[in-house]
Amino acid sequence: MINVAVIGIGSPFGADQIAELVINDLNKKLVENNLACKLHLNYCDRPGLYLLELLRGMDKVFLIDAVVADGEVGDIYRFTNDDTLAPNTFNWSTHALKLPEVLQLGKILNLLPDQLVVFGIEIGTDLHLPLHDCKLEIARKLLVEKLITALHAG
Amino acid sequence: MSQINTQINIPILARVEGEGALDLKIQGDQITQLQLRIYEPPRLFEKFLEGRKPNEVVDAVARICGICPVAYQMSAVQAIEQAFAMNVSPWVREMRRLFYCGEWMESHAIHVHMLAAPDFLGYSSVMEMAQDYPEVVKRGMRLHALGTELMALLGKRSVHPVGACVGGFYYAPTTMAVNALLKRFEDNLSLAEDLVQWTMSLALPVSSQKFISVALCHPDEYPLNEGMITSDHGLSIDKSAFELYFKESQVPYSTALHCLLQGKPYLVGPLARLNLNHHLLPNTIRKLLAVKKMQLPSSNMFHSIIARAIEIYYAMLEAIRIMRAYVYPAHSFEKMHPQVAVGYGCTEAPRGLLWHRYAFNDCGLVESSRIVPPTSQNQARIEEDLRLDLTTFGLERSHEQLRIRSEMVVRNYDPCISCSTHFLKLKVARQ
Repeated sequence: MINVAVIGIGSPFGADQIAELVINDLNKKLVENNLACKLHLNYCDRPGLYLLELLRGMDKVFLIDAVVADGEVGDIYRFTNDDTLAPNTFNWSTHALKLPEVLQLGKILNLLPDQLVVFGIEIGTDLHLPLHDCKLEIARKLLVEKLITALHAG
Repeated sequence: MSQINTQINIPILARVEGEGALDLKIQGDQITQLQLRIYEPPRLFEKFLEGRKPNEVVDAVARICGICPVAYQMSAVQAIEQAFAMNVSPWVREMRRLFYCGEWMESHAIHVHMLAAPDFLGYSSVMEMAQDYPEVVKRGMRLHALGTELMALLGKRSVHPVGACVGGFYYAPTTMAVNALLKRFEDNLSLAEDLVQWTMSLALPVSSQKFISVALCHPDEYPLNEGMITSDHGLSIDKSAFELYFKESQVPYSTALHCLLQGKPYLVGPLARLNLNHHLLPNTIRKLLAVKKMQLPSSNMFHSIIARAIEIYYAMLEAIRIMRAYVYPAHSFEKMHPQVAVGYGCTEAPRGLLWHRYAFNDCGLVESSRIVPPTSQNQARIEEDLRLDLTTFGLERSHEQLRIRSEMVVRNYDPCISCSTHFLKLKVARQ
């Protein structure tokens, strides 16, 4: 049996909490679908490098995070091991450590699982965007369904 | 010899926490101007703590820094408890040492491996270094992870922890949680010893400067939370006397204040602590240093990476000691009774002495506050070091060589620039 984890990453601020809500929703669905005991479910508040510690021993990991890109609020992005998430800047102040830098270091150190899927939910640049904005609510539901389907598929 | 007039500008110092720059003017064989420019915007914490309740202060100051929140909380609670004439239980005292051990490990491990080590191995970043030294970087990450877990054990989370309060902690970890973490610490203790040996094997620059080391000193223990403010030039004062001896001033080119001890630059941080307190390290560590012929006190600032490694090892041993003796308490915090008073706190942040003062009014709210972080205190010393080191290194060297050397010198101090920029006095003129 392979070790599978779903890890949400975020912070207690505004729409950056979206991953925590996804994890909570997923937990409820997993219990309903009898899948709860078969995987590791976790939410991390700003883990930084500690994220790589959480990936140790896992064969397959789904990461969920809020993303600010060029899309519409509620867009869902999907990246895998094969995609490049290289950071644009690289000054390595650890106050500013982001997911792409952490994953890049993990890749160099061979700490990433064989199968890594990163789901990003676009939250846009509006700092006042409510966490329960309708577009985010739809994205949350869609993502949970995607994850359930992916977990059923094995 | 021909005259060399050179201007070197490093607009962004790499591999330091926060944003700073360095400007140098060289004329012939003299440095005519040297400015460590901090340009992070002022954060004004001292001002917006006014009117806050004591536990709001504890939560707020944790947000001064994402890497050293425990230090800010510990100096704050110490000052508040002194103001309200509170004594904490032995359990709280031990848990605060445990909490601090986590932060020392987390902060020092990040600095040693991610920021400093690439310098001494000839790499521009940890990404490059990791390709050739993967096991070294993984070891650093494991030590960092253990420190993070220890902070979360007592703080509920490692970034801006919320577990500490005036009088103790909001909740006590279960014995099961403590024992689980204890086992991880015991299983990984050898990593810390290996790290000390590894840092001592690095080809570090040879340097010797005269400087004043300042740290807390305690009669019985390597200092974390308590002690007299002490220097290796005869100073030994209570934290309440800090302002009589240490003076801050604004320099026009920096948003962070400079601090001088009776008019002179001084050093705070791991090397200063080690210089003053190495005799209080556990026998295990002192024997290792003796075998490796590490001479202490040290006047070589490049030994700071070794000092951090030693403190990681010390923090692990101390954490194991405290966790082995853990007993679930009847109460995890003492109640406070606010009063009109002034209180002082001084603890050893990873980067050095962190001093707080709070005055409370008759409603138990903050009337005024003052926070002096270690990075501010080291600014004058950094500039002094740069002036001496670069002159010895050779001002005729190329721009690139001087830039790299300057950054290495600054990184020895592990400056946390984000912490140092919240001291400007606010004057508002309304018309």
